[in-house]
Amino acid sequence: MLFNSLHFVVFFPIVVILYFSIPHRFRWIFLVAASYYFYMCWKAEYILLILASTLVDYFAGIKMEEATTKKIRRRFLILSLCSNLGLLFTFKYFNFFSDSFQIVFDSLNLFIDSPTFRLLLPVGISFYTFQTLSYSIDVFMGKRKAERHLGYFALYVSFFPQLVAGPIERSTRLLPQFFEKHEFSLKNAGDGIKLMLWGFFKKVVIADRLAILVNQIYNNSDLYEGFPLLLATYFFAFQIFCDFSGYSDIAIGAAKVMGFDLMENFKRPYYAKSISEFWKRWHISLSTWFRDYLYIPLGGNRVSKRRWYINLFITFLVSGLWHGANWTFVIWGAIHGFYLIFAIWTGKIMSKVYNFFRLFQGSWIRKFVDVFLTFHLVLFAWVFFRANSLADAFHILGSIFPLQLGEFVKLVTSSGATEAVLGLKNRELLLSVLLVGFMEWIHLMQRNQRMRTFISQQPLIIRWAIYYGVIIALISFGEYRMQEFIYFQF
Amino acid sequence: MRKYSKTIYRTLFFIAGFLVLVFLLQSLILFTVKRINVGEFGVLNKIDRGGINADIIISGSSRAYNGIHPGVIESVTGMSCYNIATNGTDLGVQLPKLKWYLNHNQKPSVIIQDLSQFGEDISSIIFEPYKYLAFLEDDSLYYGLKRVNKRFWMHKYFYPSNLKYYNLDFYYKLAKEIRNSRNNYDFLINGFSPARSEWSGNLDLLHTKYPDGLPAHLPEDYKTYITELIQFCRSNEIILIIAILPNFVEISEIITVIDDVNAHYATLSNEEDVFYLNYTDSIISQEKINFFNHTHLNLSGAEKLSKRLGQDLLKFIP
Repeated sequence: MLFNSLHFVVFFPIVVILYFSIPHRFRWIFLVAASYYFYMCWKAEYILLILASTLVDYFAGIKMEEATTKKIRRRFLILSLCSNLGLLFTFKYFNFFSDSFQIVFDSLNLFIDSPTFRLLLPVGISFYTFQTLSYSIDVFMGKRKAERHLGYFALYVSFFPQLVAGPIERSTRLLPQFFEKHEFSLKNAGDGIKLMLWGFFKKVVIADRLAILVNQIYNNSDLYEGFPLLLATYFFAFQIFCDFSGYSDIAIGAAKVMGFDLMENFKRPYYAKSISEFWKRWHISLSTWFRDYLYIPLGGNRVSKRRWYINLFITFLVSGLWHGANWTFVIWGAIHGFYLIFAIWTGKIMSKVYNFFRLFQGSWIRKFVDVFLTFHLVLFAWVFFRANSLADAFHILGSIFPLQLGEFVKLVTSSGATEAVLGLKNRELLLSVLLVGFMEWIHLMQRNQRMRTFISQQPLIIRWAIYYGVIIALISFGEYRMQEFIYFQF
Repeated sequence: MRKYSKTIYRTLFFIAGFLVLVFLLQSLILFTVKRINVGEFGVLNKIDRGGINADIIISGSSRAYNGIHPGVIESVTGMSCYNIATNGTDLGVQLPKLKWYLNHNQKPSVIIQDLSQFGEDISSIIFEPYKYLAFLEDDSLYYGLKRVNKRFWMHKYFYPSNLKYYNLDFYYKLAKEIRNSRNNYDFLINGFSPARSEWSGNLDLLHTKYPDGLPAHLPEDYKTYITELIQFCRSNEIILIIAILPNFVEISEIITVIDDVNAHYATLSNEEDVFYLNYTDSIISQEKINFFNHTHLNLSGAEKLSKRLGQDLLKFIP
């Protein structure tokens, strides 16, 4: 079930009303049923994968806790790792590796046929497997006790707001909340609905509109050169942000209405002043997951410099691969790993350069330069993330310049041609740019104070006028061609 | 229940406020639409106010909207002529529109009905329904549209369902027509839209869209509507002329079987005393210069067709 579907608009209020209507001791049953229904609306049989992952990790957790020796604990951890990563490998990566080996075999003139599976990638598999893995590792490390209540554990794995695209919640944070009795709170409901509305706005009004131009250009990249390619890349940067942070906002908001607190997943990432800061602001639940369960176990930065670089690079390479079984994602991860290593390498030189140009730390111009550079480094990497193949990505990068701005201006000022070439009419193009500007203005406003807090401090008439405005904008200016969220494919 | 009463009241007030706001927005839009006297809204307003009263009425889809020039027909026949064809419509919408026309205007002597419709049933989706919202007090129009789309009642009684049509394109069109209305500039000529666009036909695209071709046939519901149209014209003593407009000849690669359609019209023509003009194989269809895409005539093509149509009309008109 998509959040941006009529199905969810009906499903969610019913779930909330029933959730608060039934006694606390039965609520977990209801939420598990609702979550399974939510998932089964997409493909019913794939619920078995969630069930398998739930049962294996539930028993592995208990066995690890009961184990008397580290060796036995490790054995059950390996069971959990193998089963979850095995699922992920089979459904997501098998064909990728098989195809890659086939290319190698072919280039070596070895006539070996690599097998491939015809399996549909289960929605959200990367999210729920990572979520359960974090539980198993935490139990193994003694950071938390094994959960003895299978129902609550099943709910932790399948909680519908964050089941298919996160945030990837830690058991230490989410599981205890299921035991708490949540009373209906107007404040929670109000805050949650506001967040959901903002999430929907970002998804259906901004992301899905930008997607039209991005898809048109990136899916036919060989037909374009110059400014349209650059524009599509800028649009993609905002499309993916609005799409994914929109999903996260809806998920966090939906959970909030029912009284649950999910972790924040985005903190104005395009205002980051460095790549390392970007990763503290972008998909926070995943980057902290990799930090805690891969980077630190590899040794983090408490090792030799060379090893530290390797640790960083491996972490980002794996993060790239997590996003998708395609070399474009691996390269995207590698680019980010390289950025971080390069920043460490050149840290001292860069501060000398900044000082030479009198761009002192803390000055607004220094902040602007840092944000500008970081954003464009991220933008460069997005080309690989969005391109359909590495060849496309290199073609795009090689064809952006010269920009041929004159041609572009001629195109957008000629009647009718803009839609045929860019997929959007010129007025929609203008609206898209204005919407991105509006969103960034909101982000700027949120530097010191959350917009939700700001709105709640206004008189009722202004508050309601804002809500009505957002609802009407959602209905009138939303793109309702049922576009899936980008992160569903991961 | 009592502890939730504040929440329930607040929610109800919020919903009520929203409905009032939507009602005001809808009223403002309809008020504005009704004051436009040019463009598509202008034609609809003229129909509603009884401001057309032409001798010859042209009804049909975008093909007639762009393809039949009332000015040329007027000059050939010496009778007043008006084009009330609408983009994206089929007979399901065109018939109630004709009935609505007749409720408010003097009955015409002739109705030229473009029936260049192939391969699809009467669409249950009413294209750009916002066009009709200001005129739903007319029962012929409202019930006719409701017959096509059972959920059309929502447009009349549940205003929030119209919000999704009040989108960027709508406001752009509205603003343009308000401006044109103020300047008294009408891009339509008696309802006819002259297409001055360059050729943009793409046969490959059509091949992709219809890989197995588009066999022309007349579905049963279409036949029912045609029968009703014939009865409607007969009971009002109006001469009905069924016209099939030319396509650019290349499209015969896509539209494969057309014999049963022609056969049906030929039978109708004989049995029901309906005049039938088929321009599919006319000389106009042979030249790309007459079209802006495979199925739509440009201004030059429309002028040629209308001249020929006017001359043919003279044979039927007493």
